[in-house]
Amino acid sequence: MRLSGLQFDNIPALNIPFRFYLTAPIFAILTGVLLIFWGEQIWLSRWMPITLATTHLIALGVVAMIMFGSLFQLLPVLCGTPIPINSKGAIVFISLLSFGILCLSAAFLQQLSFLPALFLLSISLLSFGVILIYTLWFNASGFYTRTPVLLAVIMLALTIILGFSFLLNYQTGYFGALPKYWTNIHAAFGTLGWVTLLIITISFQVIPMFHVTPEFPVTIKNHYPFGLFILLISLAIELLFSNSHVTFALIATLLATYAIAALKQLSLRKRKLPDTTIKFWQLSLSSLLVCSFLLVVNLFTLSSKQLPFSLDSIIGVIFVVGVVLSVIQGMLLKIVPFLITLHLQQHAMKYPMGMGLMPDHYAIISRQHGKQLYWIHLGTLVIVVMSAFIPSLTKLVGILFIINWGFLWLMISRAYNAFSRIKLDISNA
Amino acid sequence: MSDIQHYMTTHHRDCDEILADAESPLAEGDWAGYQQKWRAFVSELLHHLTMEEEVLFPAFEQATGITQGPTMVMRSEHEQMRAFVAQMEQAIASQDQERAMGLVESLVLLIQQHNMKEEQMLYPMCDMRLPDNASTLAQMQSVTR
Ligand SMILES: [Fe+2]
Ligand SMILES: [Fe+2]
Repeated sequence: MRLSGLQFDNIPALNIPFRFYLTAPIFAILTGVLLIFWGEQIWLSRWMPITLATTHLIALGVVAMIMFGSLFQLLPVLCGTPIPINSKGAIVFISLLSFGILCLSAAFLQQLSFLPALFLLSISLLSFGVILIYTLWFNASGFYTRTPVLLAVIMLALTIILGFSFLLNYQTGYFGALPKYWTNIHAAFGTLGWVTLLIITISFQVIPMFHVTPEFPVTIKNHYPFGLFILLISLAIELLFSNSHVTFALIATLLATYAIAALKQLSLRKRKLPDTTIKFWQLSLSSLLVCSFLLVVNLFTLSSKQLPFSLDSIIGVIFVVGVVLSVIQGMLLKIVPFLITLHLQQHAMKYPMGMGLMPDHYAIISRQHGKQLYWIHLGTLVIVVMSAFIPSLTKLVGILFIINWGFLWLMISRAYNAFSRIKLDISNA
Repeated sequence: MSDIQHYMTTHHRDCDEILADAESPLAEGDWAGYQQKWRAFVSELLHHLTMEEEVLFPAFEQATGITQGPTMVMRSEHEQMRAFVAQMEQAIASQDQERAMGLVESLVLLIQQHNMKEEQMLYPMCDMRLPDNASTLAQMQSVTR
Protein backbone atom coordinates (compact mmCIF):
# COMPACT_ATOMS: atom_id res chain seq x y z
CA MET A 1 0.00 0.00 0.00
CA ARG A 2 1.50 3.29 -1.07
CA LEU A 3 1.20 6.36 1.11
CA SER A 4 0.48 8.46 -1.95
CA GLY A 5 -2.69 6.38 -2.35
CA LEU A 6 -4.07 8.11 0.71
CA GLN A 7 -5.78 10.97 -0.99
CA PHE A 8 -8.31 12.08 1.54
CA ASP A 9 -9.09 15.46 0.17
CA ASN A 10 -9.08 15.39 -3.60
CA ILE A 11 -12.83 15.76 -3.95
CA PRO A 12 -13.76 18.47 -6.50
CA ALA A 13 -15.08 21.92 -5.65
CA LEU A 14 -18.74 21.74 -4.64
CA ASN A 15 -19.83 23.95 -7.55
CA ILE A 16 -18.71 21.30 -10.08
CA PRO A 17 -21.31 18.60 -9.33
CA PHE A 18 -23.90 21.25 -8.45
CA ARG A 19 -23.68 22.89 -11.87
CA PHE A 20 -24.62 19.54 -13.39
CA TYR A 21 -27.40 19.01 -10.84
CA LEU A 22 -28.85 22.46 -11.48
CA THR A 23 -28.71 22.11 -15.28
CA ALA A 24 -30.43 18.71 -15.46
CA PRO A 25 -33.87 19.79 -14.13
CA ILE A 26 -34.04 22.48 -16.83
CA PHE A 27 -33.97 19.76 -19.49
CA ALA A 28 -36.66 17.82 -17.64
CA ILE A 29 -38.82 20.96 -17.55
CA LEU A 30 -38.23 21.49 -21.27
CA THR A 31 -39.34 17.90 -21.85
CA GLY A 32 -42.46 18.68 -19.85
CA VAL A 33 -43.23 21.65 -22.11
CA LEU A 34 -42.81 19.51 -25.26
CA LEU A 35 -45.08 16.86 -23.74
CA ILE A 36 -47.80 19.42 -23.05
CA PHE A 37 -47.86 20.58 -26.67
CA TRP A 38 -47.02 17.52 -28.76
CA GLY A 39 -46.97 14.73 -26.20
CA GLU A 40 -49.84 12.61 -27.49
CA GLN A 41 -47.85 11.74 -30.58
CA ILE A 42 -45.10 10.02 -28.60
CA TRP A 43 -47.24 6.91 -28.27
CA LEU A 44 -47.60 6.50 -32.04
CA SER A 45 -44.08 5.19 -32.60
CA ARG A 46 -40.55 5.49 -31.33
CA TRP A 47 -39.62 7.09 -34.64
CA MET A 48 -41.85 10.14 -34.16
CA PRO A 49 -39.79 13.36 -34.06
CA ILE A 50 -41.26 14.23 -30.65
CA THR A 51 -40.41 10.78 -29.25
CA LEU A 52 -36.82 11.05 -30.41
CA ALA A 53 -36.53 14.61 -29.10
CA THR A 54 -37.95 13.87 -25.63
CA THR A 55 -36.07 10.59 -25.11
CA HIS A 56 -32.78 12.30 -25.91
CA LEU A 57 -33.58 15.33 -23.76
CA ILE A 58 -34.10 12.95 -20.84
CA ALA A 59 -31.27 10.52 -21.64
CA LEU A 60 -28.61 13.18 -22.20
CA GLY A 61 -29.97 16.31 -20.57
CA VAL A 62 -31.26 14.77 -17.35
CA VAL A 63 -29.81 11.30 -16.80
CA ALA A 64 -26.32 11.68 -18.30
CA MET A 65 -26.01 15.21 -16.91
CA ILE A 66 -26.63 14.04 -13.34
CA MET A 67 -24.53 10.90 -13.74
CA PHE A 68 -21.60 12.90 -15.11
CA GLY A 69 -21.83 15.33 -12.20
CA SER A 70 -21.89 12.43 -9.78
CA LEU A 71 -18.92 10.72 -11.43
CA PHE A 72 -16.79 13.79 -10.71
CA GLN A 73 -17.78 13.33 -7.11
CA LEU A 74 -17.68 9.54 -6.89
CA LEU A 75 -14.45 8.70 -8.69
CA PRO A 76 -12.20 10.22 -6.00
CA VAL A 77 -14.14 8.38 -3.29
CA LEU A 78 -14.66 5.03 -5.04
CA CYS A 79 -11.55 4.80 -7.22
CA GLY A 80 -9.13 7.09 -5.38
CA THR A 81 -8.59 9.42 -8.32
CA PRO A 82 -10.17 12.68 -9.43
CA ILE A 83 -11.31 13.41 -12.99
CA PRO A 84 -9.04 16.29 -13.93
CA ILE A 85 -11.34 19.28 -14.37
CA ASN A 86 -11.64 22.72 -12.78
CA SER A 87 -14.68 24.96 -12.43
CA LYS A 88 -14.02 26.70 -15.75
CA GLY A 89 -13.60 23.40 -17.55
CA ALA A 90 -16.88 22.21 -16.07
CA ILE A 91 -18.70 25.34 -17.27
CA VAL A 92 -17.34 24.92 -20.80
CA PHE A 93 -18.22 21.21 -20.83
CA ILE A 94 -21.74 21.76 -19.51
CA SER A 95 -22.36 24.60 -22.00
CA LEU A 96 -21.15 22.64 -25.02
CA LEU A 97 -23.12 19.60 -23.91
CA SER A 98 -26.27 21.60 -23.19
CA PHE A 99 -26.25 23.45 -26.51
CA GLY A 100 -25.50 20.16 -28.22
CA ILE A 101 -28.53 18.53 -26.63
CA LEU A 102 -30.75 21.50 -27.55
CA CYS A 103 -29.52 21.40 -31.17
CA LEU A 104 -30.06 17.64 -31.28
CA SER A 105 -33.68 17.97 -30.13
CA ALA A 106 -34.30 20.82 -32.56
CA ALA A 107 -32.87 18.64 -35.33
CA PHE A 108 -35.12 15.74 -34.37
CA LEU A 109 -38.04 18.18 -34.52
CA GLN A 110 -36.84 19.12 -38.01
CA GLN A 111 -36.03 22.70 -37.08
CA LEU A 112 -32.29 22.46 -37.66
CA SER A 113 -29.68 20.42 -39.48
CA PHE A 114 -27.92 17.71 -37.49
CA LEU A 115 -24.49 19.27 -38.05
CA PRO A 116 -24.45 21.72 -35.08
CA ALA A 117 -25.53 18.94 -32.72
CA LEU A 118 -22.94 16.61 -34.15
CA PHE A 119 -20.23 19.23 -33.75
CA LEU A 120 -21.12 20.28 -30.17
CA LEU A 121 -21.81 16.80 -28.87
CA SER A 122 -18.72 15.28 -30.40
CA ILE A 123 -16.45 17.89 -28.83
CA SER A 124 -18.06 17.61 -25.40
CA LEU A 125 -18.89 13.91 -25.14
CA LEU A 126 -15.82 12.55 -26.89
CA SER A 127 -13.40 14.63 -24.84
CA PHE A 128 -15.20 13.67 -21.64
CA GLY A 129 -15.23 10.00 -22.66
CA VAL A 130 -11.51 10.01 -23.49
CA ILE A 131 -10.58 11.73 -20.21
CA LEU A 132 -12.80 9.36 -18.25
CA ILE A 133 -11.45 6.19 -19.87
CA TYR A 134 -7.87 7.46 -19.51
CA THR A 135 -8.40 8.25 -15.81
CA LEU A 136 -10.05 4.92 -15.09
CA TRP A 137 -7.44 2.98 -17.05
CA PHE A 138 -4.25 4.58 -15.72
CA ASN A 139 -5.05 6.16 -12.36
CA ALA A 140 -7.98 4.36 -10.80
CA SER A 141 -7.91 1.74 -8.09
CA GLY A 142 -10.73 0.09 -6.17
CA PHE A 143 -11.34 -3.58 -6.83
CA TYR A 144 -15.13 -3.55 -6.98
CA THR A 145 -15.59 -0.27 -8.78
CA ARG A 146 -12.83 0.44 -11.28
CA THR A 147 -13.62 -2.25 -13.84
CA PRO A 148 -17.43 -2.03 -13.61
CA VAL A 149 -17.35 1.77 -14.00
CA LEU A 150 -14.97 1.32 -16.93
CA LEU A 151 -17.37 -1.20 -18.52
CA ALA A 152 -20.26 1.25 -18.09
CA VAL A 153 -18.21 4.01 -19.72
CA ILE A 154 -17.26 1.71 -22.61
CA MET A 155 -20.99 1.05 -23.11
CA LEU A 156 -21.57 4.81 -23.09
CA ALA A 157 -18.81 5.28 -25.67
CA LEU A 158 -20.32 2.61 -27.94
CA THR A 159 -23.77 4.20 -27.56
CA ILE A 160 -22.39 7.61 -28.49
CA ILE A 161 -20.37 6.33 -31.46
CA LEU A 162 -23.48 4.59 -32.81
CA GLY A 163 -25.49 7.78 -32.23
CA PHE A 164 -22.94 9.87 -34.08
CA SER A 165 -22.95 7.53 -37.05
CA PHE A 166 -26.78 7.78 -37.19
CA LEU A 167 -26.53 11.57 -37.23
CA LEU A 168 -23.92 11.48 -39.98
CA ASN A 169 -26.15 9.14 -41.90
CA TYR A 170 -29.23 11.35 -41.44
CA GLN A 171 -27.19 14.23 -42.71
CA THR A 172 -25.58 12.53 -45.71
CA GLY A 173 -28.03 9.73 -46.44
CA TYR A 174 -24.98 7.58 -47.17
CA PHE A 175 -26.41 4.27 -45.93
CA GLY A 176 -30.02 5.05 -46.72
CA ALA A 177 -32.64 4.01 -44.19
CA LEU A 178 -31.03 2.47 -41.11
CA PRO A 179 -31.83 -1.13 -40.28
CA LYS A 180 -33.69 -1.32 -36.95
CA TYR A 181 -30.87 -3.51 -35.67
CA TRP A 182 -28.48 -0.62 -35.13
CA THR A 183 -30.94 1.60 -33.27
CA ASN A 184 -31.94 -1.34 -31.07
CA ILE A 185 -28.31 -1.85 -30.13
CA HIS A 186 -27.90 1.90 -29.51
CA ALA A 187 -30.90 1.84 -27.15
CA ALA A 188 -29.90 -1.39 -25.41
CA PHE A 189 -26.30 -0.28 -24.81
CA GLY A 190 -27.43 3.13 -23.57
CA THR A 191 -30.12 1.96 -21.17
CA LEU A 192 -29.05 -1.51 -20.01
CA GLY A 193 -25.33 -0.97 -20.57
CA TRP A 194 -24.31 2.50 -19.51
CA VAL A 195 -27.16 3.51 -17.17
CA THR A 196 -28.04 0.20 -15.54
CA LEU A 197 -24.45 -0.98 -15.22
CA LEU A 198 -23.54 2.26 -13.46
CA ILE A 199 -26.57 2.13 -11.17
CA ILE A 200 -25.77 -1.46 -10.19
CA THR A 201 -22.10 -0.67 -9.52
CA ILE A 202 -22.84 2.43 -7.49
CA SER A 203 -25.56 0.67 -5.50
CA PHE A 204 -23.00 -1.88 -4.26
CA GLN A 205 -21.14 1.00 -2.61
CA VAL A 206 -23.81 3.49 -1.57
CA ILE A 207 -26.53 1.19 -0.23
CA PRO A 208 -24.30 -0.32 2.49
CA MET A 209 -22.69 3.04 3.21
CA PHE A 210 -25.69 5.37 3.32
CA HIS A 211 -28.18 2.92 4.79
CA VAL A 212 -25.91 0.75 6.94
CA THR A 213 -26.98 -2.58 5.45
CA PRO A 214 -24.82 -5.71 5.21
CA GLU A 215 -22.55 -5.89 2.14
CA PHE A 216 -24.00 -7.30 -1.09
CA PRO A 217 -23.23 -11.02 -1.63
CA VAL A 218 -19.75 -11.36 -3.15
CA THR A 219 -21.02 -13.46 -6.07
CA ILE A 220 -23.31 -10.64 -7.17
CA LYS A 221 -20.67 -7.95 -6.64
CA ASN A 222 -18.05 -9.92 -8.55
CA HIS A 223 -20.05 -11.27 -11.44
CA TYR A 224 -23.10 -9.16 -12.23
CA PRO A 225 -21.50 -6.10 -13.86
CA PHE A 226 -19.25 -8.33 -15.95
CA GLY A 227 -22.13 -10.69 -16.72
CA LEU A 228 -24.37 -7.88 -17.91
CA PHE A 229 -21.60 -6.47 -20.12
CA ILE A 230 -20.86 -9.85 -21.73
CA LEU A 231 -24.57 -10.58 -22.25
CA LEU A 232 -25.11 -7.23 -23.97
CA ILE A 233 -22.14 -7.74 -26.27
CA SER A 234 -23.28 -11.24 -27.17
CA LEU A 235 -26.81 -9.91 -27.67
CA ALA A 236 -25.43 -7.45 -30.21
CA ILE A 237 -23.52 -10.17 -32.03
CA GLU A 238 -26.39 -12.67 -32.02
CA LEU A 239 -28.92 -10.13 -33.24
CA LEU A 240 -26.78 -9.64 -36.35
CA PHE A 241 -27.59 -13.18 -37.41
CA SER A 242 -30.84 -14.20 -35.79
CA ASN A 243 -33.09 -13.34 -32.88
CA SER A 244 -31.68 -14.11 -29.47
CA HIS A 245 -34.48 -14.92 -27.08
CA VAL A 246 -32.23 -16.84 -24.74
CA THR A 247 -29.79 -13.98 -24.25
CA PHE A 248 -32.66 -11.57 -23.74
CA ALA A 249 -34.17 -13.85 -21.12
CA LEU A 250 -30.78 -14.15 -19.41
CA ILE A 251 -30.44 -10.38 -19.26
CA ALA A 252 -33.93 -10.09 -17.79
CA THR A 253 -33.09 -12.79 -15.23
CA LEU A 254 -29.88 -11.04 -14.24
CA LEU A 255 -31.69 -7.73 -13.76
CA ALA A 256 -34.52 -9.36 -11.81
CA THR A 257 -32.20 -11.24 -9.46
CA TYR A 258 -30.17 -8.07 -8.91
CA ALA A 259 -33.37 -6.18 -8.07
CA ILE A 260 -34.46 -8.87 -5.62
CA ALA A 261 -31.02 -8.98 -3.99
CA ALA A 262 -30.91 -5.20 -3.61
CA LEU A 263 -34.46 -5.09 -2.19
CA LYS A 264 -33.39 -7.74 0.29
CA GLN A 265 -30.33 -5.69 1.32
CA LEU A 266 -32.58 -2.71 1.97
CA SER A 267 -34.95 -4.81 4.05
CA LEU A 268 -31.97 -5.96 6.15
CA ARG A 269 -31.05 -2.44 7.15
CA LYS A 270 -30.81 -2.07 10.88
CA ARG A 271 -31.56 1.63 10.98
CA LYS A 272 -35.03 2.61 12.09
CA LEU A 273 -35.44 6.24 11.02
CA PRO A 274 -37.84 6.74 8.12
CA ASP A 275 -35.89 7.70 4.97
CA THR A 276 -37.35 8.83 1.65
CA THR A 277 -34.23 7.76 -0.26
CA ILE A 278 -35.07 4.17 0.72
CA LYS A 279 -38.54 4.61 -0.79
CA PHE A 280 -37.01 5.91 -4.03
CA TRP A 281 -34.67 2.90 -4.16
CA GLN A 282 -37.55 0.51 -3.52
CA LEU A 283 -39.62 2.14 -6.26
CA SER A 284 -36.69 1.96 -8.67
CA LEU A 285 -35.90 -1.68 -7.92
CA SER A 286 -39.55 -2.75 -8.09
CA SER A 287 -39.83 -0.99 -11.45
CA LEU A 288 -36.74 -2.89 -12.59
CA LEU A 289 -38.42 -6.11 -11.54
CA VAL A 290 -41.54 -5.18 -13.54
CA CYS A 291 -39.41 -4.21 -16.56
CA SER A 292 -37.53 -7.50 -16.60
CA PHE A 293 -40.81 -9.41 -16.30
CA LEU A 294 -42.31 -7.43 -19.20
CA LEU A 295 -39.14 -7.95 -21.25
CA VAL A 296 -39.76 -11.70 -21.05
CA VAL A 297 -43.48 -11.29 -21.78
CA ASN A 298 -42.48 -9.21 -24.79
CA LEU A 299 -40.43 -12.11 -26.16
CA PHE A 300 -43.52 -14.31 -26.35
CA THR A 301 -45.90 -11.73 -27.75
CA LEU A 302 -43.52 -10.13 -30.21
CA SER A 303 -44.30 -12.42 -33.13
CA SER A 304 -48.04 -12.71 -32.61
CA LYS A 305 -48.85 -9.01 -32.08
CA GLN A 306 -51.65 -9.90 -29.68
CA LEU A 307 -51.54 -6.65 -27.73
CA PRO A 308 -53.59 -3.56 -28.53
CA PHE A 309 -50.83 -1.29 -27.19
CA SER A 310 -47.07 -1.13 -27.60
CA LEU A 311 -45.41 -3.12 -24.84
CA ASP A 312 -42.09 -1.65 -25.98
CA SER A 313 -43.18 1.86 -25.05
CA ILE A 314 -44.53 0.73 -21.69
CA ILE A 315 -41.26 -1.00 -20.84
CA GLY A 316 -39.46 2.13 -22.02
CA VAL A 317 -41.36 4.57 -19.80
CA ILE A 318 -41.30 2.29 -16.76
CA PHE A 319 -37.56 1.97 -17.22
CA VAL A 320 -36.87 5.66 -17.71
CA VAL A 321 -39.30 7.15 -15.19
CA GLY A 322 -39.64 4.21 -12.78
CA VAL A 323 -36.13 2.79 -12.65
CA VAL A 324 -33.81 5.63 -13.61
CA LEU A 325 -35.51 8.86 -12.55
CA SER A 326 -36.49 7.29 -9.20
CA VAL A 327 -32.97 6.29 -8.28
CA ILE A 328 -31.55 9.59 -9.50
CA GLN A 329 -33.91 11.66 -7.36
CA GLY A 330 -33.44 9.42 -4.34
CA MET A 331 -29.68 9.75 -4.66
CA LEU A 332 -29.87 13.53 -5.06
CA LEU A 333 -31.94 13.79 -1.86
CA LYS A 334 -29.14 12.02 0.00
CA ILE A 335 -26.07 13.21 -1.83
CA VAL A 336 -26.86 16.96 -1.94
CA PRO A 337 -26.96 17.40 1.86
CA PHE A 338 -24.11 14.88 2.21
CA LEU A 339 -21.81 16.81 -0.13
CA ILE A 340 -22.67 20.12 1.47
CA THR A 341 -21.86 18.72 4.90
CA LEU A 342 -18.63 17.21 3.61
CA HIS A 343 -17.45 20.51 2.17
CA LEU A 344 -18.51 22.48 5.22
CA GLN A 345 -16.56 20.04 7.39
CA GLN A 346 -13.43 20.64 5.37
CA HIS A 347 -14.01 24.34 5.73
CA ALA A 348 -14.55 24.00 9.47
CA MET A 349 -11.17 22.27 9.79
CA LYS A 350 -9.65 25.64 8.97
CA TYR A 351 -12.04 27.46 11.31
CA PRO A 352 -12.59 25.03 14.22
CA MET A 353 -14.63 27.65 16.09
CA GLY A 354 -17.34 27.22 13.47
CA MET A 355 -17.87 23.49 13.95
CA GLY A 356 -20.98 24.07 16.04
CA LEU A 357 -22.59 25.91 13.10
CA MET A 358 -22.70 22.79 10.95
CA PRO A 359 -26.28 22.29 9.72
CA ASP A 360 -27.89 18.90 10.27
CA HIS A 361 -28.84 16.75 7.27
CA TYR A 362 -32.51 17.74 7.15
CA ALA A 363 -31.76 21.42 7.66
CA ILE A 364 -30.40 21.36 4.09
CA ILE A 365 -33.33 19.54 2.45
CA SER A 366 -36.19 18.98 4.86
CA ARG A 367 -37.77 15.56 5.32
CA GLN A 368 -41.10 17.10 4.42
CA HIS A 369 -39.84 18.29 1.03
CA GLY A 370 -38.24 14.93 0.36
CA LYS A 371 -41.55 13.18 1.00
CA GLN A 372 -43.45 15.62 -1.21
CA LEU A 373 -40.95 15.05 -4.01
CA TYR A 374 -41.50 11.31 -3.70
CA TRP A 375 -45.28 11.56 -3.99
CA ILE A 376 -45.12 13.93 -6.97
CA HIS A 377 -42.72 11.54 -8.67
CA LEU A 378 -44.86 8.49 -7.89
CA GLY A 379 -47.88 10.31 -9.30
CA THR A 380 -45.91 11.10 -12.45
CA LEU A 381 -44.97 7.44 -12.86
CA VAL A 382 -48.56 6.27 -12.47
CA ILE A 383 -49.90 8.85 -14.92
CA VAL A 384 -47.17 8.22 -17.49
CA VAL A 385 -47.97 4.48 -17.53
CA MET A 386 -51.70 5.23 -17.77
CA SER A 387 -51.11 7.60 -20.65
CA ALA A 388 -49.79 4.70 -22.72
CA PHE A 389 -53.43 3.55 -22.72
CA ILE A 390 -55.08 7.00 -22.59
CA PRO A 391 -52.83 9.26 -24.73
CA SER A 392 -54.75 12.42 -23.78
CA LEU A 393 -53.22 12.11 -20.29
CA THR A 394 -49.80 12.93 -21.76
CA LYS A 395 -50.47 16.66 -21.23
CA LEU A 396 -50.83 15.95 -17.53
CA VAL A 397 -47.52 14.07 -17.60
CA GLY A 398 -45.92 17.21 -19.02
CA ILE A 399 -47.38 19.33 -16.23
CA LEU A 400 -46.26 16.86 -13.57
CA PHE A 401 -42.75 16.80 -15.04
CA ILE A 402 -42.56 20.56 -14.74
CA ILE A 403 -43.78 20.51 -11.13
CA ASN A 404 -41.55 17.60 -10.15
CA TRP A 405 -38.32 18.97 -11.58
CA GLY A 406 -39.07 22.61 -10.84
CA PHE A 407 -39.48 21.59 -7.20
CA LEU A 408 -36.23 19.62 -7.26
CA TRP A 409 -34.39 22.54 -8.88
CA LEU A 410 -35.64 24.86 -6.13
CA MET A 411 -34.52 22.46 -3.41
CA ILE A 412 -31.03 22.08 -4.86
CA SER A 413 -30.52 25.78 -5.43
CA ARG A 414 -31.77 26.63 -1.95
CA ALA A 415 -29.41 24.02 -0.55
CA TYR A 416 -26.52 25.60 -2.44
CA ASN A 417 -27.41 29.06 -1.16
CA ALA A 418 -27.55 27.71 2.38
CA PHE A 419 -24.09 26.24 1.84
CA SER A 420 -22.62 29.59 0.78
CA ARG A 421 -24.27 31.36 3.70
CA ILE A 422 -23.16 28.85 6.34
CA LYS A 423 -19.65 28.72 4.90
CA LEU A 424 -19.39 32.44 5.46
CA ASP A 425 -20.77 32.11 8.99
CA ILE A 426 -18.17 29.47 9.79
CA SER A 427 -15.35 31.70 8.55
CA ASN A 428 -16.64 34.52 10.76
CA ALA A 429 -17.23 32.38 13.85
CA MET B 1 -1.60 -10.23 10.52
CA SER B 2 -4.72 -8.15 10.73
CA ASP B 3 -5.30 -7.76 14.48
CA ILE B 4 -6.00 -4.05 14.53
CA GLN B 5 -8.08 -4.13 11.37
CA HIS B 6 -10.25 -6.91 12.75
CA TYR B 7 -10.67 -5.53 16.25
CA MET B 8 -11.45 -1.97 15.21
CA THR B 9 -13.75 -2.94 12.33
CA THR B 10 -15.77 -5.10 14.69
CA HIS B 11 -16.01 -2.19 17.08
CA HIS B 12 -17.25 0.08 14.26
CA ARG B 13 -20.04 -2.41 13.56
CA ASP B 14 -20.93 -2.59 17.26
CA CYS B 15 -21.24 1.20 17.39
CA ASP B 16 -23.42 1.14 14.23
CA GLU B 17 -25.78 -1.32 15.89
CA ILE B 18 -26.07 0.60 19.13
CA LEU B 19 -26.91 3.78 17.20
CA ALA B 20 -29.40 1.96 14.94
CA ASP B 21 -30.98 0.63 18.10
CA ALA B 22 -31.42 4.16 19.42
CA GLU B 23 -33.26 5.20 16.26
CA SER B 24 -36.53 3.42 17.01
CA PRO B 25 -37.42 5.36 20.19
CA LEU B 26 -36.43 8.57 18.36
CA ALA B 27 -38.71 7.73 15.42
CA GLU B 28 -41.54 7.02 17.88
CA GLY B 29 -40.90 10.20 19.88
CA ASP B 30 -40.08 8.25 23.06
CA TRP B 31 -37.60 10.74 24.51
CA ALA B 32 -36.80 8.88 27.73
CA GLY B 33 -36.01 5.70 25.82
CA TYR B 34 -34.05 7.61 23.20
CA GLN B 35 -31.99 9.51 25.72
CA GLN B 36 -30.93 6.31 27.44
CA LYS B 37 -29.91 4.55 24.22
CA TRP B 38 -28.25 7.65 22.81
CA ARG B 39 -26.09 7.96 25.96
CA ALA B 40 -25.06 4.32 25.57
CA PHE B 41 -24.01 5.06 22.01
CA VAL B 42 -22.09 8.20 22.93
CA SER B 43 -20.08 6.43 25.61
CA GLU B 44 -19.13 3.66 23.15
CA LEU B 45 -18.27 6.19 20.43
CA LEU B 46 -16.12 8.33 22.72
CA HIS B 47 -14.32 5.23 23.94
CA HIS B 48 -13.52 4.36 20.32
CA LEU B 49 -12.25 7.84 19.56
CA THR B 50 -10.05 7.79 22.67
CA MET B 51 -8.52 4.43 21.72
CA GLU B 52 -7.57 5.86 18.35
CA GLU B 53 -6.40 9.28 19.46
CA GLU B 54 -4.42 8.18 22.50
CA VAL B 55 -2.94 4.89 21.32
CA LEU B 56 -3.37 4.02 17.64
CA PHE B 57 -2.72 7.37 15.97
CA PRO B 58 0.40 8.19 18.02
CA ALA B 59 1.73 4.70 17.27
CA PHE B 60 1.07 5.24 13.55
CA GLU B 61 2.66 8.68 13.60
CA GLN B 62 5.73 7.35 15.38
CA ALA B 63 6.15 4.37 13.05
CA THR B 64 5.72 6.35 9.83
CA GLY B 65 6.86 9.82 10.80
CA ILE B 66 3.71 11.25 9.20
CA THR B 67 1.88 13.62 11.52
CA GLN B 68 0.22 15.99 9.04
CA GLY B 69 -1.38 13.22 6.97
CA PRO B 70 -4.30 10.83 7.46
CA THR B 71 -4.27 10.94 11.27
CA MET B 72 -4.68 14.70 11.20
CA VAL B 73 -7.75 14.37 8.98
CA MET B 74 -9.11 11.58 11.20
CA ARG B 75 -8.64 13.66 14.35
CA SER B 76 -10.46 16.56 12.76
CA GLU B 77 -13.37 14.33 11.78
CA HIS B 78 -13.49 13.07 15.36
CA GLU B 79 -13.86 16.70 16.47
CA GLN B 80 -16.75 17.06 14.05
CA MET B 81 -18.41 13.97 15.55
CA ARG B 82 -18.03 15.50 19.02
CA ALA B 83 -19.59 18.74 17.74
CA PHE B 84 -22.64 16.80 16.50
CA VAL B 85 -22.87 14.99 19.83
CA ALA B 86 -22.91 18.36 21.62
CA GLN B 87 -25.65 19.63 19.29
CA MET B 88 -27.68 16.49 20.00
CA GLU B 89 -27.66 17.28 23.72
CA GLN B 90 -29.47 20.53 22.92
CA ALA B 91 -31.93 18.78 20.61
CA ILE B 92 -32.73 16.27 23.37
CA ALA B 93 -33.13 19.06 25.91
CA SER B 94 -35.63 20.87 23.67
CA GLN B 95 -37.21 17.59 22.41
CA ASP B 96 -36.79 18.75 18.81
CA GLN B 97 -37.48 15.59 16.79
CA GLU B 98 -36.69 16.95 13.31
CA ARG B 99 -33.41 18.37 14.50
CA ALA B 100 -32.48 15.15 16.29
CA MET B 101 -33.30 13.09 13.19
CA GLY B 102 -31.21 15.41 11.03
CA LEU B 103 -28.29 15.19 13.46
CA VAL B 104 -28.45 11.39 13.54
CA GLU B 105 -28.45 11.32 9.74
CA SER B 106 -25.47 13.68 9.53
CA LEU B 107 -23.58 11.77 12.19
CA VAL B 108 -24.24 8.38 10.55
CA LEU B 109 -23.02 9.63 7.16
CA LEU B 110 -19.96 11.25 8.72
CA ILE B 111 -19.12 8.10 10.68
CA GLN B 112 -19.68 5.81 7.67
CA GLN B 113 -17.34 7.66 5.37
CA HIS B 114 -14.82 8.14 8.17
CA ASN B 115 -14.88 4.42 8.99
CA MET B 116 -14.55 3.50 5.34
CA LYS B 117 -11.30 5.45 5.13
CA GLU B 118 -10.00 3.88 8.34
CA GLU B 119 -10.97 0.35 7.37
CA GLN B 120 -9.73 0.54 3.80
CA MET B 121 -6.52 2.47 4.35
CA LEU B 122 -5.51 3.43 7.86
CA TYR B 123 -6.02 0.14 9.73
CA PRO B 124 -4.36 -2.02 7.04
CA MET B 125 -1.42 0.38 7.10
CA CYS B 126 -1.24 0.16 10.89
CA ASP B 127 -1.20 -3.63 10.74
CA MET B 128 1.62 -3.48 8.21
CA ARG B 129 3.74 -0.69 9.60
CA LEU B 130 3.52 -0.89 13.38
CA PRO B 131 6.55 -2.62 14.92
CA ASP B 132 4.48 -4.48 17.53
CA ASN B 133 0.80 -4.32 16.75
CA ALA B 134 -0.11 -6.95 19.33
CA SER B 135 1.06 -4.66 22.12
CA THR B 136 -0.61 -1.62 20.50
CA LEU B 137 -3.83 -3.60 20.44
CA ALA B 138 -3.41 -4.59 24.09
CA GLN B 139 -2.80 -0.94 24.98
CA MET B 140 -5.99 0.07 23.18
CA GLN B 141 -8.00 -2.57 24.98
CA SER B 142 -6.72 -1.31 28.33
CA VAL B 143 -7.85 2.27 27.71
CA THR B 144 -10.25 3.10 30.52
CA ARG B 145 -13.77 4.16 29.71
FE1 LIG C 1 -11.76 7.24 13.82
FE1 LIG D 1 -12.40 4.09 14.03
